[in-house]
Amino acid sequence: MDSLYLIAHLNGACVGIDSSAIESIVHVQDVVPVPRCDPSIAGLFALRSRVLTLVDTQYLVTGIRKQVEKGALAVVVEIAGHQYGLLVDRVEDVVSILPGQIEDRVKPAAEWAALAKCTASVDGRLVMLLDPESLVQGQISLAA
Amino acid sequence: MDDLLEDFIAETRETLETLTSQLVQWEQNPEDRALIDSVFRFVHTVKGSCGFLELPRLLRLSHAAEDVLSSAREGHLKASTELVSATLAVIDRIAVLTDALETGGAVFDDDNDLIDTMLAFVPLNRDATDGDDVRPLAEFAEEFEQDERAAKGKARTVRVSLNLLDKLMSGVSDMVLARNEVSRQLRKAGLNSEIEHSFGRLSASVAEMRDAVGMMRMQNIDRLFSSLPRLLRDISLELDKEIELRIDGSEVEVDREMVEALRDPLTHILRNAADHGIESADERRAAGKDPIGHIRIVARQSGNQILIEIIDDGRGINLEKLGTRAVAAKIVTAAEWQKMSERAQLNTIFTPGLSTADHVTSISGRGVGMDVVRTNLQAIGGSIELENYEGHGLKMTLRLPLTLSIIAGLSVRAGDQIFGISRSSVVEILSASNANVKVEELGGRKIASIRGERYPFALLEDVLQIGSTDTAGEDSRTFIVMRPAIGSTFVLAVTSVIDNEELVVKPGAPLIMSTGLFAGTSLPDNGRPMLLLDASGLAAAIGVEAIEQADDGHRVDEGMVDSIRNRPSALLYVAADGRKRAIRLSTIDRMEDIEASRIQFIGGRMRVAVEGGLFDVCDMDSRPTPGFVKMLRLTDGESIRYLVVDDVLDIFAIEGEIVPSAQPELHEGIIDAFGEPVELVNVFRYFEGFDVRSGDASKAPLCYIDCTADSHWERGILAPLLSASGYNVSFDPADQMSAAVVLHRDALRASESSNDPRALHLRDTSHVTLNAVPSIYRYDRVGLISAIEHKLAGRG
Repeated sequence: MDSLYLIAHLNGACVGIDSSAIESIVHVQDVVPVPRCDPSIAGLFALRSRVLTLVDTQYLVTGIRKQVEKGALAVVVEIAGHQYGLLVDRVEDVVSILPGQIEDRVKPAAEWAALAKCTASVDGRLVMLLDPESLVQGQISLAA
Repeated sequence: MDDLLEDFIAETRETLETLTSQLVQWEQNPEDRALIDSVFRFVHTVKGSCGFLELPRLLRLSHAAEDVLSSAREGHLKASTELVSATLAVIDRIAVLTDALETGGAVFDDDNDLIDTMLAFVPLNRDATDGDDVRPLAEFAEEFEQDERAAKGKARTVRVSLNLLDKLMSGVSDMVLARNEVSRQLRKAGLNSEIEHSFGRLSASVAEMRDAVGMMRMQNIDRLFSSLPRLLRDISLELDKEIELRIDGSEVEVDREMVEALRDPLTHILRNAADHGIESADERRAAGKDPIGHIRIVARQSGNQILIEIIDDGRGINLEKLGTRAVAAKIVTAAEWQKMSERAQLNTIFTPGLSTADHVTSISGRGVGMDVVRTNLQAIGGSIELENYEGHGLKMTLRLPLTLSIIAGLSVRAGDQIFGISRSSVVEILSASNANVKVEELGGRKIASIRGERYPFALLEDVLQIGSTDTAGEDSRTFIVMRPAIGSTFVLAVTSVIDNEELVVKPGAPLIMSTGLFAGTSLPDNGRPMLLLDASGLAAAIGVEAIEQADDGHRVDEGMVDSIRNRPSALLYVAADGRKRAIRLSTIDRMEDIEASRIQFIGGRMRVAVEGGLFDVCDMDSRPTPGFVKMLRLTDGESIRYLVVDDVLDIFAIEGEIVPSAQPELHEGIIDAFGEPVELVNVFRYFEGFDVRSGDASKAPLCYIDCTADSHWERGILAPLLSASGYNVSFDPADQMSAAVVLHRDALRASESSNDPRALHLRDTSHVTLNAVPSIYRYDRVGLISAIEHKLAGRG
């Protein structure tokens, strides 16, 4: 049983996002900040007629908030009934990753540990497989 | 065929809900024919469809139910608890079978027992299980058609999947955004009146459509409540307690998903109240209470929340007993329990695995319940609160967010961001430069005083911790007096208030909602997402001390509202003639900016078309120039008038002496407004004499006109005059006896009916002939109307 993953670049690293949760990839135009919210939330943006929450993935990894520019790329995913945009640097391709490709010996680096549980080798390089749920837990997941 | 089956399942399920509540009502009012008729009609329709769709088990059940009900309809049977129970059992089986049809599951077949129980009530006791009794299909089809025809008069509905509705909703919203984009482009490209005109039309129809789609998702909460009487009836029968259920606020509208999500928790609470709350009749008598238990369910919308209260007058929660249980269940230690506040102690009933019931009944007391209720409520963003009156009852308040629904909102600017506020939590909006407003500072805490009342005060920018780009200083700000659902009134200062609009509110992501400051998100017409502020959350963030809700919090609030209303205040405005005047605030509904094109001189006075109605405009002499006209919407509680104003200045309290006016019909008097004498307008004159449309036409006096069938004058001229003056008119001789006034023009009849005090004779000539009976010239309109008034007054 293989699954399809979208390969994206996030804070300079290569990650895989399970494509079954992905709805689309969009350029975010207008981001409305949310005051006094968890810093991992970059803000709200409108996609067609819906309001989506933009997740600052860079913050989750580095603890530094990203300056969101007009036209920034976001992967639209549905997590626990809510729709989010995950900020990414760029996207590559959708590839299928078989269980056999999971690299048991290589674990993600410490700052990634909360977001990705494992790595896989795709076309000769390593990608981290993101755990979408952990992306929308806010800072708490960093502390854990 | 599959489609037909699906329709049948959906339709049957929907009707079953209303049906059960009607059956229960019938049990209470056995004489009500309309109820039994409607129950019968439903069962009959199900029977017809079953025959048509070849569903033999359903057919037999519904056939048996029909037999019993038809017998009841003919008066051979009286509604009794047993009869209704038996019928309900059959209806429940129909529901189970209908579900099974959909899921493909199997249901144990003991239908015969149910049917026999029920048929035992029929005097002739026909054996419905006999196959011969099932009538041929053609006959059903025929009856079915007849039923269809009978139902034609009702509003027709179709069933649509929720998915499709959502798609439609987002499609329409996209259309709105696209329209706005086009509008921007048009403005950029320069205006062409023809394009503008057609765009205006497109725009209007898009807006209309969006409203309609929004309404489609909303549902009356009655849909949720309609199943409760039946539920309570069954419980009270089983427990052998007499319980009366009262439901108020069925008109509250909620999103239909909310209705589904609330069903289980509400059922559970009701069961608990009936089982544990309400004591047995003997116990109640001993406690000096009405032997009949009372449960009351109240729904209302309060700010951006929907409140559902379930109040019973039972024994309440025995905290001591609860403590013993909690300690026994190892939820808390005895020492911890002692230290807990009463509220915290109460809240332990939401802990999994705890029950205060002495014994397990089939209804409740199995230790699962309140924790599930609370979890279910939290899943939809709601909460539950308890107010315990030991020995006297328990009140549970469910607070539900108004998410997914449409609210009247206010958009405000704070810093460089725009936020929405539910209009229902806004009491008043004032300008900071208003002489009645002062901001004081006490030990670092800001307090606003408005007309002498002090309120906690905060800048929205400070609460949200966003930078203020406003350099103009405090004076240009706008103050909003807010009254949240929880907590006391406070004043919020924003950079400016932008607009009044209808907002579709959706829940935000959990991380956003967990800030407690926001009620949800919305996408207004400009296509930029907007956060909706939660008044209660803001109050908490400001540090406003929450009013202790345990003591009937809302009653306190209402009292406060009353005192605000009772304190006479007036609005200072610049009238259309350029002079400053004041008008009593209590008569003002709201202020509106209305397009001049919606105002026209028609039917003898200026009128404005608003929200589908046509209202009178006061103080306007000529058609306005194109653009917007500022108007005050006045109301006397029933009718509505619009008053044209040049500008609205301020609100102030009416204090001091009211100097009498020389023209009391125009002004109530002269009052002092900010040290300046102004006329207080006499609102009475705006409402007097205008409205002849009485609310209830059936109460208007009846005038009978005695004339031949081809008389043009009576039918074409007299009757319209009388109707326009507010009377009912009849030409039917049968109405002559009941008529208040009888009018006729026939000189011969005049003398014979001259004894009838109600008779009014009309003559054709303006002068009176010799020896004539008392009469009125038929074209003397004023004389005629006053003569009728005299007749009516003389009688009554």
